[in-house]
Amino acid sequence: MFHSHSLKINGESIQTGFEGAALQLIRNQLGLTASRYGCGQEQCGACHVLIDGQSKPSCQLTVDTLVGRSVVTLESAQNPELPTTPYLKALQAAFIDEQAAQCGYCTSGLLISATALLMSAHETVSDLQIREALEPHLCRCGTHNRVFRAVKKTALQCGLKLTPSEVSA
Amino acid sequence: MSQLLQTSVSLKTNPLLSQWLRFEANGSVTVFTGKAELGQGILHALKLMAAHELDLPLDSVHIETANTQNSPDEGMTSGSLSVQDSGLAIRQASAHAAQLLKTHACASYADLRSHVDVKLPVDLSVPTKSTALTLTEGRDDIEALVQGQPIFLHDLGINVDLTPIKNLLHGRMVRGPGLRCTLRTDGWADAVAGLPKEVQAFRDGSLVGVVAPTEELAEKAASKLQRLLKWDVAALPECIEGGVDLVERAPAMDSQVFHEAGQLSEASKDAKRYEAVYFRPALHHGSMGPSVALAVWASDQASSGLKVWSHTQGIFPLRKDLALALGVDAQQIEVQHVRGAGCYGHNGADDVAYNAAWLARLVPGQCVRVQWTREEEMQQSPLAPAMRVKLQATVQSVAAPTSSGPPKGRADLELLTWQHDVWSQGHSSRPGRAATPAFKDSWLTDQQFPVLEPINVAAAAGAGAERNAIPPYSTQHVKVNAHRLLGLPFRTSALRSLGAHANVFACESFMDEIADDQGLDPVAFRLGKLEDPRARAVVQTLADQVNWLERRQTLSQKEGWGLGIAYARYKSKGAYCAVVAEVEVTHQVNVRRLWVVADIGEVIHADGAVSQLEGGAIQSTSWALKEQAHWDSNNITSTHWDAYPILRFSEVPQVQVRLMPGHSQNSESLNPPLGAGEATQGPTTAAIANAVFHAVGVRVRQLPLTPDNLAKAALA
Repeated sequence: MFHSHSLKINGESIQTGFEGAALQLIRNQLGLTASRYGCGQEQCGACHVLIDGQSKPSCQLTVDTLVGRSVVTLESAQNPELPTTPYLKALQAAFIDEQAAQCGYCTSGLLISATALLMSAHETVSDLQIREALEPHLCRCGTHNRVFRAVKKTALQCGLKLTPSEVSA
Repeated sequence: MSQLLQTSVSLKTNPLLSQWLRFEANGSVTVFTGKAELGQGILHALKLMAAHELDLPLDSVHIETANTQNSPDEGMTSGSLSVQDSGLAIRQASAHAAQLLKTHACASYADLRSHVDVKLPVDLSVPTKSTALTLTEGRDDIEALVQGQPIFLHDLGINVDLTPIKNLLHGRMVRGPGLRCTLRTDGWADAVAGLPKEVQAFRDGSLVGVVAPTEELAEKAASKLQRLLKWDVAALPECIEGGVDLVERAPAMDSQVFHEAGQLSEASKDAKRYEAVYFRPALHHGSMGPSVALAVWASDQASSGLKVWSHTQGIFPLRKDLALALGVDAQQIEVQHVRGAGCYGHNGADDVAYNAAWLARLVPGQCVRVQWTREEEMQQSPLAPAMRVKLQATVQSVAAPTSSGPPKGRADLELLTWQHDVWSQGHSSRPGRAATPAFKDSWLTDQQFPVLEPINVAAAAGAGAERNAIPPYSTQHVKVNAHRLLGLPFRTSALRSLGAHANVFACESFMDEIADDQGLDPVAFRLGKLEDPRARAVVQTLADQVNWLERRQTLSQKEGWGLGIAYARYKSKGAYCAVVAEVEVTHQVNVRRLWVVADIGEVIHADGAVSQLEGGAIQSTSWALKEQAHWDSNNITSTHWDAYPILRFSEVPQVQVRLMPGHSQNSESLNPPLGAGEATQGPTTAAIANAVFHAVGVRVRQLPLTPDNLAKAALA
């Protein structure tokens, strides 16, 4: 029997009969390749997307678990109507300012998790919270400190207060 | 201020202006390079150099990505040589072009086209401009990266139009375990009979692959065959955890004296002998994106030819080996470079390109995309070899300091002898160097290509296992013996800094051990034994910056905290680099801060260089603290990030990088650029190990510095 799933991607409703992993739907069927394939085992963070505002790996999620949910990928920054867009755009600008990428393969996932953090923060954000938000993401080039600075900078721009911190990069 | 004339190797092999530059009708200039963007930002640095010499705004200069049809052949993008090879060639060609513009009084480079035939040799006598820290514009590709644009090879054919190519097929390989295995062919017919009709399965000897119209189908078919097919395999050696005893397991060994210099003199009664053995396990490259490639064979016989898209480090060497493996003329093959995820050495890029080319030949006219899985990337791409280093030295106190001349430092402790023995498999299995192909999977076909034994490149090219085995310190007699392990069933090849990582770890740990035993300060001891003023300047600048003595003293009072230093000049002729590490040892080693000082000669793009040095230091921290490949009797088992953990955000130290000015003291002219990409690998790991000793008094000679190895060393 053919199942059709309805879900929202970047603000648009779609119907799909695709039964595989969400990442394959997103990349191969929808052509949204900002979400990267890195490990397929939820261990590296390259494929993170926002699912109802939470940053999650998409490589092992099956499409049926997304029914009725809202999925946001990095490409959503083109859509000015989404509430995530101002955060994504501010983060993108900060990443450019800090030159916070070498190969950039992990960048999309980092931006997604940083967006989730900044959107869910109430008034303050701490270094520890930033590190925890970025912890699921691996970066092999060693750009961590630049990424950390870029996220901190964006937090300030978003009107968040940085709570006193034990370590700062 | 003009440059000292430096001739680039690449300019010698590609001497014509037209091989480097093309003047466009709109006045912009296209720059050709044979070097590949690996995530290191090299294309940006090359573009900066060209625009600066051509006196054009950055957006009027376009860099063509490497392609075998129109790029200069510059071999591999490796060894921290791209600025020296490609950069200096492009700079000279651009300076020549700028001069031609003046001579012919042209208003733009477009006009130049009617005045000169660009197939003239680049004039090496044209002076070039200084770049000293003036080129500050950031990488213009970061914007595409933060927007998630489809600029990776991984995206090609998925949402990047490949017109005129239609019919993208997805390929997957099916393999038995180990370096070389034999397929039991009696099960083949039954296994493939059960595959869906859209799937095609192919076999050549023991090499098996499938193609299918979708990635999901290809994946399913491959895992089905993987379950059904059986293989005869050769067992992997049983080793003590980490492979410390791999040396004893090697069936054969090629021992050579790599270097010997100085005079052996008789040691006095009070001379003291030191000896220590260090170990670095096999490492994975751990690129974030598993390797991928696309290939298509022209279907009509008249224009039979192969096009391959690859994130290889060397388009020409890859083309050469593809020709060997497929039995065609290299001229029939075009290799187009497209960037992949960060590359730190010989990863799976070339092998997967062979996979795609092999499958594409079986479905002529259709483009085949092969995407390796994480497991394939960890199992099939080469390992960085495990290395054992034994150091022996004789040290003697000298009563009176030298009476005349400039002080050479501490003359009261002399290194009489220094012997460095290194045991390792070869550090290169790269394509393009042998009479038979280097692709692992090509060894499985009926053509019976031999398994290639990993080699070490020549000393002039920076050596392999022996890289940085010669100590930078003045000793009366020094000898380096290199023992290449042969016949081990692991394919090993280049990983960022090759043998330098383990050799510097050993040498710099040993220096600290001697200093400690002699009651000397590690910085003072090193300064006393370094003769090169640039080396001394790097170490002294770093010591001053961290306030070495005071900080070390303060940390001595804090339980579990320590400070360590290490120094090396990469390849003994590249960048000078010193690193100080501050660690806190709890139940594990925590690296809190790193300070890096480097002299990389002329600095082209300071932020890019700083980023490379910092990135290298963080990667080296990850190697030092966590990394070690594992295998069982059948196969490599560290196939995912839980089995092969690397440094995560919470474990990353703060890093401060300082670049020395590009010119020596009392000199106006810039020193030649030395490359920055690999300089921090060795010193960072060594500085961390030295800091651990300072923190808890335990000398860990076996990497990684895990709680287990720390406990073992404490009990030793």
